Amino acid sequence: MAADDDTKGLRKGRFAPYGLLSPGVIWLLLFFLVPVAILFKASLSTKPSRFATPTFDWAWGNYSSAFSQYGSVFVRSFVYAGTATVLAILIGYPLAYWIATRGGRWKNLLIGLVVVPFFTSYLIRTIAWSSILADENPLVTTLQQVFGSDFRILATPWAVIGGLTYNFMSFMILPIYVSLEKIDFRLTEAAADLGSTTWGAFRKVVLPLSLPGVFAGSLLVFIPAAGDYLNARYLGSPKTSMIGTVVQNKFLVQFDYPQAAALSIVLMVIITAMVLVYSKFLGTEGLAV
Amino acid sequence: MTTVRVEKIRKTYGDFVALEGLTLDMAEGEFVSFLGPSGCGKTTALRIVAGFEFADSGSVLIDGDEIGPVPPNRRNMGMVFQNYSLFPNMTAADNVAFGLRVRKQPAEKVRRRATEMLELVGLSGKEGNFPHQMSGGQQQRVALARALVNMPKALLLDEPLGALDLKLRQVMQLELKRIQREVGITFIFVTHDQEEALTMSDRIAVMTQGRTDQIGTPTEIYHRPATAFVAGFIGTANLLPVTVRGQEGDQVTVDGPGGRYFARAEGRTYQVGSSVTLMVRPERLVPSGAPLHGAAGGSIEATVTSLVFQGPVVRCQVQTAAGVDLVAHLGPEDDPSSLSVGSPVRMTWSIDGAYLVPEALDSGLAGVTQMEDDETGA
Repeated sequence: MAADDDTKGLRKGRFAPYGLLSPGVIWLLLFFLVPVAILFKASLSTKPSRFATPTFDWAWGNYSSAFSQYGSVFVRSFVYAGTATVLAILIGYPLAYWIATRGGRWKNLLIGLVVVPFFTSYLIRTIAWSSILADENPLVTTLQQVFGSDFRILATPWAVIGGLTYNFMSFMILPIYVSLEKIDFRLTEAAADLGSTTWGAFRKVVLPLSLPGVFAGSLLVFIPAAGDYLNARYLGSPKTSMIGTVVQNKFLVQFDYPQAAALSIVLMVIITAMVLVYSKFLGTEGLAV
Repeated sequence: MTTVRVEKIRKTYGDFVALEGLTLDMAEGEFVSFLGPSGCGKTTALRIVAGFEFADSGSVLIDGDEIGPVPPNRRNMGMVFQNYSLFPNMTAADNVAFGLRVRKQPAEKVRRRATEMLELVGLSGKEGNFPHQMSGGQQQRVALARALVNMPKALLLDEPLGALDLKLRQVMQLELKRIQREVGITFIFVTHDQEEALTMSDRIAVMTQGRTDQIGTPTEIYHRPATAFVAGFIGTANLLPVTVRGQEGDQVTVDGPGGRYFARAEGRTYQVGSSVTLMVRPERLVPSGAPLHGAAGGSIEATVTSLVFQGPVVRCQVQTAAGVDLVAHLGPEDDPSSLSVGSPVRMTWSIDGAYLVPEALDSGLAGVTQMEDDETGA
């Protein structure tokens, strides 16, 4: 009898993994795959006028115009996002390193401070920066005395890149901190014992071991930064518009759903391709500890 | 020739004195152990030699040159860390090659030396393995090869066998000895395991609470301990508090609990009335009637409290009338089968089986002392 019950339990148990998976799978189906399919259908539709209903007619022209008309905006988006990612690494890595190695008992507090900006809305923070960087702000007027009266920060590419860097910085610091925190820093003693300098030990041991964090942080900064529209809108000018700005404008102002959908799909495909190449290049497999 | 010399090293952390007046010469090709319980300062001493810590006062000399302020990367010491500290992002060969690459050796030589070193430690064919793909014993060997690759002035080993199981530890003890003979480098070995120290060392420095109690060969330390601590820490010892009654030439007469005993003076002069410690090793303690090797040194009335068969010997524990526990290891010639738990027995020893430790015994230490992990091998 007992044996029978046991095998029954086992047989039932076989389906447990699927049961546990199903909430996630259903979620993905409903809120990711279905919307993407709808988006894809919209991107191949035609909408003759502002208030007409789009009709599906394999309108590939939406895609060719995405490249012909907005190619330069795509390039600009990726250049801005890429620059912001590099800046975030250059600023975030030393900060994360300092907290992980010198933070001592203040570690958790310091990491808490990194997250503090999230308590204010993203939009409000960006608008605050636009007033800090505005032409009439004392910061800028002071700098104008040095660099001449034409000097300005707001509405330049650097304002947008700076905004992106600032807004996504935490997403860089946190994963780098986590990967540094896991490293046994006694390894640097071993390296020193073998004749290595502090810099050599960092370059050959600590840095390679923290690359998974840099990799994760880069994705977390680059992907949202490439599709961002708030920074370009509040800190930039029409000349610095990013692809997110265009999509937002097409969708919410001009109601040009097919073109907005095509641009979104193109953005998604390019980013996916970039991530695949990047992960191949920085392959984290061999680094798994 | 002296390779490494530490002189009157003192090191404190706040109020805690980690090391007090450590002085020791280590000769070329010598195997020296720092032995002591945790917190005795042995690891601190090793880290000072390696250059990871700096002494408050005293000096470290290598080949006669003061090396106090030189950072570790310019000392040419090789260290094997307790947790191995292998670089997890490198293969076994790259770990070993690290020290050579740092010194900008040509690629051909780096590859050849790394292969040679891995061969020396018995890891041929494992060049491409990452640390996480290797067993503890293999990681241990990689750490050893890595530390030896630059032919350091001395190899420093910080409890390197602590994480291995008993069998593997014994294998590695012999391996370490073999490798040391092959490379001829001074080995400084830190351990809390007295058996490990006895097996491998040419000399042992027994340390406790930052002080060095005794420096000597394993035989000296086992048979002629300088302090009651050393007697109890190395192997098992029966210790009795005794008072000197007189000395005639080489023979000292002492009074202890349960009688009058005799011991050798070993060249020392004893003051009548002074308190000292009498040590009898368990293999020298036998029931009366069993063969004694040499003149009688004394005897004591006791009751057998336990008899445990341990293969080569029977571990016989007895309790004296004064409530002191003693342990005897009885071989077949001692006829242990005639004893039974609860029966009275007179335990005896020869004059050469006893040793006088020239130090008064803390009353709490009377009887048998031994470290907890002495026989468990955990």
